[in-house]
Amino acid sequence: MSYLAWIDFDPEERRRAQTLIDLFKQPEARDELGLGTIRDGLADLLFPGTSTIQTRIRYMLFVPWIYREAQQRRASQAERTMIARELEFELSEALLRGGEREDVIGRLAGRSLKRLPSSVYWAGIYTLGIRTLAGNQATFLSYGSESLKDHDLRLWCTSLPDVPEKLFEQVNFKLLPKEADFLRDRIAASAKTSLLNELASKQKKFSEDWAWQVHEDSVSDRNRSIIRHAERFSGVMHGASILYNLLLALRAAERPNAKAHGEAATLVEEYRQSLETWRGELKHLALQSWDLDDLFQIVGTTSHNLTQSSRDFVRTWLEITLQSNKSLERDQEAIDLLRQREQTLKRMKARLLHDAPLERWSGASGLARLDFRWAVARRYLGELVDVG
Amino acid sequence: MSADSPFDPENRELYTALVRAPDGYSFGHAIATTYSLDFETALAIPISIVFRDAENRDEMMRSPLALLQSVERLADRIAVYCDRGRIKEANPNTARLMALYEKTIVEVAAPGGGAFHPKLWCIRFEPQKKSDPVRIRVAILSRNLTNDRCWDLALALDGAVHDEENNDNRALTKLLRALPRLTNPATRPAPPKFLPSLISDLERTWWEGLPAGATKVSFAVNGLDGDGWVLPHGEKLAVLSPFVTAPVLERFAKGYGSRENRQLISRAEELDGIDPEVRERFSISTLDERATEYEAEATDGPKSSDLEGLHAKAYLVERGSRLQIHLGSANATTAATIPTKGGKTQNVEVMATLDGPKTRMGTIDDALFSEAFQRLLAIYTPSDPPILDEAVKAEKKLEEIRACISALPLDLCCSEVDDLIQLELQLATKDKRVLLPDGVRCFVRAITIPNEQGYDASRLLSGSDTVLALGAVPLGDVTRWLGIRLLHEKTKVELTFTLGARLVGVPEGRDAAVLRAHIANVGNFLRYLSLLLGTLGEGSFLESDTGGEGQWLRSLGDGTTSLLEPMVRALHLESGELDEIGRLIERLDDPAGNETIVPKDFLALWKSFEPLITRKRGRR
Repeated sequence: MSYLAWIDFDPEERRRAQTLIDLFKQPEARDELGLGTIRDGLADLLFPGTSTIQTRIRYMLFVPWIYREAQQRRASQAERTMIARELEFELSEALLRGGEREDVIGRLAGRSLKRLPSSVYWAGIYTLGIRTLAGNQATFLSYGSESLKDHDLRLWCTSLPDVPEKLFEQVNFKLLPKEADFLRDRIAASAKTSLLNELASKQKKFSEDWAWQVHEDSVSDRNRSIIRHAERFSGVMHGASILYNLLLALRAAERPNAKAHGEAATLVEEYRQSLETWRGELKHLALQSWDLDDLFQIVGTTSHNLTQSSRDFVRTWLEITLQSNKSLERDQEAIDLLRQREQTLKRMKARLLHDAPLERWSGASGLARLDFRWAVARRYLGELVDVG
Repeated sequence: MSADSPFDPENRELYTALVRAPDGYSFGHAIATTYSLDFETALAIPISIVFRDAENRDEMMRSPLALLQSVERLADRIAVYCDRGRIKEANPNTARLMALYEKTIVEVAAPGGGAFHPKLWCIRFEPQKKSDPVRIRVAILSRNLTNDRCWDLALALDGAVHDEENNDNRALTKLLRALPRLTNPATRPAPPKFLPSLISDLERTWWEGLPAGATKVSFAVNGLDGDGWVLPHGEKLAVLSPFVTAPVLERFAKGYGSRENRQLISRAEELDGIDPEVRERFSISTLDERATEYEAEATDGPKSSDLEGLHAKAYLVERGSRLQIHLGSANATTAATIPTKGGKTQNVEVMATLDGPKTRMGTIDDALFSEAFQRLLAIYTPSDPPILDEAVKAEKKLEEIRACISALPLDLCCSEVDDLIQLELQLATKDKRVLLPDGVRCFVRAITIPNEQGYDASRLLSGSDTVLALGAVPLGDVTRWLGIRLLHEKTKVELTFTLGARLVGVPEGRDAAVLRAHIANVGNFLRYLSLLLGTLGEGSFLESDTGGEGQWLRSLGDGTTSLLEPMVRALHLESGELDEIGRLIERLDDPAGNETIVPKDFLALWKSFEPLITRKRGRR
């Protein structure tokens, strides 16, 4: 194992580093105001098993197939780890040979890929009951062919479709009908109450930009209510992001050392405009009747830990949104709230308070509207219908 | 293609994987060197050698028993050399474990008076088949054995031991050979028994498959003699160094044409202190600060923890048709790279050079400035140099005193008083002492005593007293480690660190006492089993913090994640875990006849396993 590489002490540190690296891939898409808990909590309820780094649904089958193949080889655990890794690379190559270009994990990195498809999908395939035994990847690879004969030991869902013949030679992302049926069954069995299941059972494609634009009779009241929360949360908090960026632009314009922020004045105008547009759109959200306690209670049922400070922040921002008639940019209460929130989250790195971090501001921070992984779910729903 | 660049941010390796044996091999012996060290991180190393699923430092620290077992097993097979006075303050719980690490960690000093700075691993792996050759792995890093979270680099090289000597490795063997001499002569411990044979193997190791397209590798050690690392001249240069000084930057700039040919990546606050004229000679960037701040997606509140910026030290040189990558511990600083009158540098450093044709290794732009790496960089914009306030001055002063105190040879003398051990601290030689300046105080305590205060050591340090009593502790709490606290009274600035003394008169049975003190409860026992059986982490029967007593029994029945299932698996695979459990149960049997902490239900379960294991053992 000769290498020259960056080094991480443990997987936790690696995860941190990976998160940072990902930040640089999607400029400024990050969670500046600490809204991630509610975002992820609602997304887990609506679209369980998905995550933002997943690409195509057939990986939910590729991963078990690869692991099964590795487990059937007579080898030590260490050897099986190598085999599984090798098979993941072979899969990428087979996908490229099969004519896939987009969404092939490892398309660019090749064999130096560090985040393998199996780790991207490992949690998701458990959530959806495709993998039936809890445990990390190493644990799974410690089971060999002997253990697989043991009928009491169920690692994978028994109805897992057969491996396609040329899986490691040439393959694409198109599901076979029985594979789509299997995945739909899994979603129905393991995520019965989710919106994902309700929409999957419709067996149709969706083109709506946002989950809340979907109008289906069969959506349960509970899911309707979660979507309504998601829509309101996305809408209301978008205003906080715009105001945050407007305040940054104002500060950047004031600074004498404005070389790096030549566009600050333009940005200020743009954000003022966005804030106006946002205000206009609020009416549709009927915020007077929004029950925040219900939202917090719902998020509280997930594995995400919602802190008091986050609750307070959302609550206060909603109050400001509801009351404020004057311009938010001069609303001291709103400004203080954002300052305080940023300070709590980022300390010395807070851009509203400190100049050094402001200098490195790109001009747009965390402006993307929350979609609660609808984009991933929508693609999966399409793939389940669009079978080969 | 960006992924081919060794400096691509996605090109990452795990530190803990560094110490794992290749297939068909088992861990033999290892020497490590580091500048600073913290006990927790040092402990994670033997654990990841012994346990297969143990990768996460936090998880490991929650199983004190596993720590004990693995440290115990590996203590005389690993030696870690670190700069004296650079062991971080430890919490009393970890500190108690360090009794078992006493011989493993050795404090040394640079002969040139600077820092002992090399970060190196040299590991021998023994073949399982006699016909296979012994293998050696060497790693040259910029990461210390601490919980820093920085952008650090590692070069790892694997090779087999042959009969013929490989002269390229001479600098490394020189460093290993010198290590025992760099300890304090008055209290010098015996060198590790395996050191000569490890050196002899390293001398005859031939490296296989050099990374980054290199065709040649060489090594250099600074600070031991005049024969150290020198940056060669060439056409183009890129310097990655968190710390820089003006004389070194000037020196480095000289061999290279114009400013465009000299790239420098460093820390902004460090660059601010450099003369602008010198800065002008380089095109300078810093790591974008977003690349050093991390906010967990899933956590909430003020929990963000930072990566502490750039820590890698690398020098890339284009020279004719070749590219060289120099990397290791040396910063672009005076103490690291410029020899003093004696001909050697103040610091001890280790560097490796990968060398190869550009057609294989690429240019500096290909190798270093890949698109992905460039995304992490920001153009450096100067700020005013930091002002030296009172607190910073006080810190500097305390640092000087730290150096003086850690140079003292100390003896920690034990004597039995009733059922406790009385500890007394003495200077091992009469000719060394430290006079504390006015307004600075020094407190010392045995590291296992959770007494924050410590005993005032000024009279002992100055030689006015010959003995300082440090109180009495139970046998299981006797270690050779001292907690040192320096206090600057006016500013209230404090500096704390751990220092090793020579232990004199340590009573028998101490190691056994440490073991018993740690397996104080059922939770520890079960957590250990979980680690041993490889079920720690997701879905483990001890997944939650509230797990422990009773919990495993409940999950014993639920069929999916139980203790029974991995035990049956271990039995089937004959992988040795059950022998380990058997030995532990024997050891936990208190000779004094007290009830063992092993849960009764587990003992009952164990009874059905025990005969099976004996039978298998007999069959072999």
